[in-house]
Parts: sequence; C-alpha cells; structure tokens
Amino acid sequence: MSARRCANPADTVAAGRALAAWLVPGDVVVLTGPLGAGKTVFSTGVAAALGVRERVTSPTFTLVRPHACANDRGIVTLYHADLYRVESLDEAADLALGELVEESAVALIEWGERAEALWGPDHWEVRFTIEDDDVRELALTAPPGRAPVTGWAA
Amino acid sequence: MILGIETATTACAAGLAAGERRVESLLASDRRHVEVLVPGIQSLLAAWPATLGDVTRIVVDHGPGLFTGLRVGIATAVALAEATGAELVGVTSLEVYAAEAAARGVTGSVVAVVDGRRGELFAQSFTLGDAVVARDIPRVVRPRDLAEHWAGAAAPVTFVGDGAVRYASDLGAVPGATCLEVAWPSVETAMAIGAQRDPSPVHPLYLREADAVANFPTRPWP
Ligand SMILES: Nc1ncnc2c1ncn2[C@@H]1O[C@H](COP(=O)(O)OP(=O)(O)OP(=O)(O)O)[C@@H](O)[C@H]1O
Ligand SMILES: [Mg+2]
Repeated sequence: MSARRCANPADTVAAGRALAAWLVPGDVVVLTGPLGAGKTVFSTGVAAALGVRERVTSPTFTLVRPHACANDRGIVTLYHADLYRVESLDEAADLALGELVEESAVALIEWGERAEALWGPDHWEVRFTIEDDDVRELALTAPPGRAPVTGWAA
Repeated sequence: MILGIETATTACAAGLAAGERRVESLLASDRRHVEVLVPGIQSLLAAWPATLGDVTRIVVDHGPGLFTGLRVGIATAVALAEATGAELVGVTSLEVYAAEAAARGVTGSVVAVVDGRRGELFAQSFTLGDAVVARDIPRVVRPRDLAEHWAGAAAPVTFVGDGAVRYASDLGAVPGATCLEVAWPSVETAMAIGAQRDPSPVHPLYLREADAVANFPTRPWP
C-alpha cells in the first residue's frame, strides 16, 4: 500500500486518471473514506481516462449508474455506485456489481467497504483521508497477485 | 408432474419428470436466464405435451451460484408455485453436483465446486458410497486454499462442478485429485433429489451474506 498526497481537487482527479491506467475488465474498486473525502471527485478522473463523455455525479440516490466508455482496453462500461444509502445487504447484493463487471466493465463503489464480502478478495481499494481543508491522502491497495503499481505515491 | 428449474450458473436449464419419463433442456449457456427461462418451460410443456396445470411440484436450484441467475430462477419458481398451487422444493447446486458424480460412478471424497466469481469458489465436501453424505456446510473458499487443503490431506479426491472447469489448473494439480468437469447442475438429478424431499419455502443461498451483513450496523447515518 502506498499513499498519494492530493493538495486540491485537480490532484485527486489526476489520481483517478492514474488508477484508470491500471484497470482491466472485471476490476472492482472500493472507495473508502468519510463524507466529502473526494471519492466522487476521484471517480470523475477515472471516468475521464476511460473515455466517459457524460458528466459523472454522485449516484447516491440511484445507487448505481452505468457510464458508456470509449477506450482501447476492452472496458465498455463503468459502473459507478454509492452504497451510502443502502439499507441492507440484500439491497447491495441486488446490484450484482461483482457479476456485472465480469467480462467488459469495471466498477467504482463509494462506501463499498460496507459490503466488502460481496466483492471477494480480488478488488482494489482506495482509502481517502482528509488531512485538512484541501489536502487528501489516498492510500491504494491493489488486488492480491496483481503486478505492483509503481509511481502512485509520486 | 415435476418441473425442474436450474439457473445457478451461466447456463439456464429446465426439465420435466413424470413416472419413468424425464426430459431436460439446456435453454442457454450465456446468462440469458431472464430471456429464455419462461419460454423454455412453455416449449418443454408443449412438447411433452402437458400444461402448467399438470405440474404438482417445482424443484428449483437455490444456489449457491450466479446471483443474477438465481434470482430469475427462484422468482420464477415461486411465482409459478403460487399461481398453480404446486409444491415448491429447493435443492442446492452443490448437492446436485455431488449426486451427479455419484451417478457417474464416483466414490469416496468428492468436493462440489461452483464458480463463486471474484476469484472464489462455493464448495462443499461429500463422501460418496451407498449414499451421498455431506461432510461440511457450503462455504466460500479461494481455489488455491482448497487445493492446498487437499494436497495436505494426501487422499484421493474428486472435484466436480463448473468450478472444477474454471479452476482445473489449481484443483487438478493436487496429487491424487481428479476434476470431473460438469458445466452446470443437472436438472434430472435435481428433480430426482427434489422428488424425495418435503416442500418448504425457498430462498437464495448467497453464502457471502453472513460475512457482509456485519458491516452494516456501523454505518453512519445523516
Ligand atoms: N484535495 C481534494 N480532493 C478532492 N476533493 C477536495 C479536495 N479538496 C477539497 N475538496 C472538496 O471536497 C469535496 C469532495 O466531495 P466528493 O463528493 O468527491 O466527496 P465524496 O467522498 O464522494 O463524499 P460522499 O461520501 O458524500 O459521496 C468537494 O467539494 C471538493 O471540492
Ligand atoms: Mg460521493
């Protein structure tokens, strides 16, 4: 695990772009951290790098929103989910995100740690810490067995 | 007449059984459960020929397995049972695989394995002899860990199920292990098990639920 310091929202968007370079179809990314930590801001960076054209906003009320992607990496859909308002595990399980991503998609799941067992051990985690008003620390954990990510903390 | 419904893997299958006669049909193998299940049941009935009114018992595989498949299969089974008054019986994907191995002449230690996705298996151990006897309860396990366990046990074992197809390299490498590649749980076998069982309410067996539910009470609320 390595932490990356983001001094402003633009840095956090850039971190999302950096992570996107490592993603392959089937990947699930759990975004963990307090309200306002920058999980949605980060998601816009991932989406931009995967070629999502539409605006990415918080999917809090819809729980999950699919975005069409345009890239040469076989990632056709980005599922952006937010489990903050999910009332029970059934509701989270009903989204079947782990199965949806399998062949040609990836998922970003804000508050995904609440239903961790649904994703299995093979997922990414980005842990957000609010350092002060504008500074965020983003700690990245890659799925076990994946080639180590280099240059994240730089 | 028994109607069997199978949706625990990417395959969708259905079957009918009455007296000595039984039929089974693979309706699709590529996750099109929603699309093919109900029309498939209708054409099986038409070909028999019979109608839904002739169905007295519905046997449905309630998992563990593919979440998006199971909810189609179970919802359909429950709805049809409600509508027709047929009895509803659940069987597990794992016991069907074990019984399938027994039907193919396998004896001794058998581990039924269903692809759990996300790098995990749903697994249960059985001993096959005069009967199929479960040795533990269904659980979620990593293929490597399961392989290591059986390598340590140093005893012959047969892995059966779609999980043994996907993870044949991990599981087949265990000394003394055989992989019996069965791509989906047989509806005929499920109906044979279900014919002997008392009806009861059927719920999907997700297995991951028990672990995950623990995280919910701690969530902050605005
Ligand atoms: N370094 C930074 N990185 C990201 N956001 C920052 C940073 N500094 C300040 N902010 C502000 O913090 C807020 C982050 O909001 P965002 O919606 O991304 O949080 P979130 O983690 O998704 O919260 P929630 O849990 O409510 O979904 C934004 O208003 C953003 O402008
Ligand atoms: Mg958010």
